[in-house]
Amino acid sequence: MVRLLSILSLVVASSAMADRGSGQRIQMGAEIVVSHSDAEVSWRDGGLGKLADTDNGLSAYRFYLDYSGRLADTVTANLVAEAFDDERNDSLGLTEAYLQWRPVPVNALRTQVRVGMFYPRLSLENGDPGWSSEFLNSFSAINSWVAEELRTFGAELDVHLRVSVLGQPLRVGLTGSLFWNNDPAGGLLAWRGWSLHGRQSRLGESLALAELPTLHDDGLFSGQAENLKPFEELDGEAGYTVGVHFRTQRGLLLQASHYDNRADPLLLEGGQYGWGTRFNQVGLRTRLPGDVTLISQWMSGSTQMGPVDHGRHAVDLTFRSHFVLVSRDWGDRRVSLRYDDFETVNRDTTPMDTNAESGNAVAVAYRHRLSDRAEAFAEWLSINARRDARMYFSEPTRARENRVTLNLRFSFDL
Amino acid sequence: MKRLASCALLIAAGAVFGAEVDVVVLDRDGRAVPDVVVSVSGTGLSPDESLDTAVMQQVNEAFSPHIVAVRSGQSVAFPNNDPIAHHVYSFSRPNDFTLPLSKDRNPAPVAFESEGVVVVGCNIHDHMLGYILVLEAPRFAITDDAGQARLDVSGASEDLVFEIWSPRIRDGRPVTTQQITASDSDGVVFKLQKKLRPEARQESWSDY
Repeated sequence: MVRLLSILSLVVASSAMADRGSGQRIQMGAEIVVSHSDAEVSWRDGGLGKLADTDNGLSAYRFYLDYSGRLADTVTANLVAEAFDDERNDSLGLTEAYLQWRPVPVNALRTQVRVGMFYPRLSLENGDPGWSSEFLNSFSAINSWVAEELRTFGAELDVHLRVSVLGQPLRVGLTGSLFWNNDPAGGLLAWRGWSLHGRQSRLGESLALAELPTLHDDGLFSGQAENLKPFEELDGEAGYTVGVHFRTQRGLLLQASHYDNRADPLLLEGGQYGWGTRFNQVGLRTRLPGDVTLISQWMSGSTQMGPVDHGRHAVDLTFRSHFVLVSRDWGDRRVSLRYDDFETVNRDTTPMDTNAESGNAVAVAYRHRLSDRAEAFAEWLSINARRDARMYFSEPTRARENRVTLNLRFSFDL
Repeated sequence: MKRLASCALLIAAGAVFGAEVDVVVLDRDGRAVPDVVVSVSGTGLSPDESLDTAVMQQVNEAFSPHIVAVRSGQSVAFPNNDPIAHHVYSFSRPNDFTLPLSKDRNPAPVAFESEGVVVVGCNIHDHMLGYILVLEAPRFAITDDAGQARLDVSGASEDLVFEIWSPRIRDGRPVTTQQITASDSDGVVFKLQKKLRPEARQESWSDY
C-alpha cells in the first residue's frame, strides 16, 4: 500500500500544479528510506526495543496527504491521512479530521475553534505538513508518545489577546478542550515505556504490546487484547486540557498545559483497560543569536490502571521526559541536534509487572532541500535505556540502540 | 554678483519654497530609517487631485509593501500573488474592513475615508502584518533605504509642517514634527531619540 501510494504520488508530483488560492490545498508527501540499525527486536514486533523500526535496507517508508478545504470564509475542513510501511497495517488511515473556525477579529482578541479529531496543542517540533517534524526525521520521546496515544476527539477553544507591554507587542492566550476516545492512553507508556520515532497512530490503529508475564492468558491483565487501541471511549466521561501560551514579536513562544483523560482505571471493555492519565507540560521555542532555533519541552505525569490494593492501583507509575533541540539552517541546508531524557517510575508493587525505566537519546540530523519538491534527511539516532522488564525476556535490562537513516521526501501542493 | 543675483531671486519669489524638499530620518545612532511616512502641510499646498489606487499585494505570506500611505478617500488594492489563499482584514475603526475570500484574486479596492493608522492582517496567516496610514496632509512620501524622502512643496507660501510616522518609531511629538520656514528650506532632518522597535517586516510570531 505504501509502495503503491508512493509511486502514485511521484507520478502526480510530476504533473502537479499549485492551485491559485482557491482555498483548497492538498499537500502530499512520500518518503523512501535506506536504514541500518543494530537494535534488538522493536516494540512494534512484540519486543521491548525502543526503536520503532529495525528493518535494514531500502523501503517505501511513508506516505501522507494533508488536505485543507475552505467551506466558508472563516471555516476550513482539514483531513490528514498517513500510510506507513508496516507489516500489520500499511493502509492509509486518518491521523486528523476536523473543522476549524477562525472568525475575523473585531478587536485585539483572536478566537479559534476546532471540532473533530486532532492533535492537542503540544508539540513544538511538528510544524510541517502531515505533522512532520521541521527538524529531524524522528520525533522527541514526548512527541513520539503524543503521536502514538494522544488525540483530541472533541472540541477545542483557543483565544489570544494582542497586547503591548512597555512598547513590546505580545500575544497571550488560553486554550481549553474537552475530548473523548482517549481512555486507554497511557497504557503504552506503562507497558512499553518511551520510544522515539516518526510514526503516528491512525484512526482505529492498534499498537503492539510485548508479551509481558501479566498479559499472558494466566496473567493478572489477561483481559488486555493482543494490541492496545489508544482511541477508545470506555466510560463515556470527557477528558480535558487547559493551557496558556505567550508569544513575542521576536519569535519567543512559551506554553504550559495540563491534560487529564479522566479515564476510569477500573474499566476493562473490549480488551482495553482504562488508564487514568494526567500530565503537565511546558514548552519553549525561541531564536538564539546566530539564527539558532532552540526548542525545549518538558512533561511530567502519572497513569493508573486496575483495582486498588494497599492504596495503589495495580499499575501505578509516574512518567517524565524532556528534550532540548537546537537547529540552524543555511538556506537549503539544516543541521539539528536533539537530546532526550526520559524515565518512568513504578509506584505499585504488583509482581511480575515492573514498568520502571530510565534512559536518554541523542539524535543528529542533516536536512537538505534538493528542490521545491524533494529533500533528503540523514539522521543518526541513539537510544540508551534501562528497562527492568527486559529481564522477563532474559535480556540485559540496559541496551543502547542505534539507527542510521537516509530519507528522501517528495512533497508537493496539488 | 552671483550672491546679489540669488538674493534678488529670493525677493522676487516672495519667500516661496523651492519645488522640492528632501527629508532624512535618522535613528538615535545616526543610521538611516527606511519605510517612514513623511507628510507635509502648509498654506498654499494643495493636494494632488488625482491619486491612483495604491497597492498592497500579498507575496510569500507577507504584505508588500508593508507600509502604504494614502490620502483620505483614496483606495488600496490587495492583489494576491501567492499560490495560496489569503483573507485580508483590519479591525482599526472606523477604517475596518474585511475582504471576502473567493477565487477572485483581484478583489475590488478598498477606500479609506478616515485619517489614522489601519493595521492590516490576514485571518489565515496571523504572522502577516501591514500598515496603511490614511492622511489628510496634502503631500506625503515614504523614506527609501537611505532614510530619504523627497516631497514636492511647490506652491507653498508660508511655514511648512513636516510629520513622520512609522510603526517602529517610539518617539512622540515634538520629535516627530518639524516646522520650517523659507530660510532653512534646503532640507529637513529628523533625529529620533528613542530606540526603534524591531523591523515590522521581520516579525516572526510562532503560529499557534
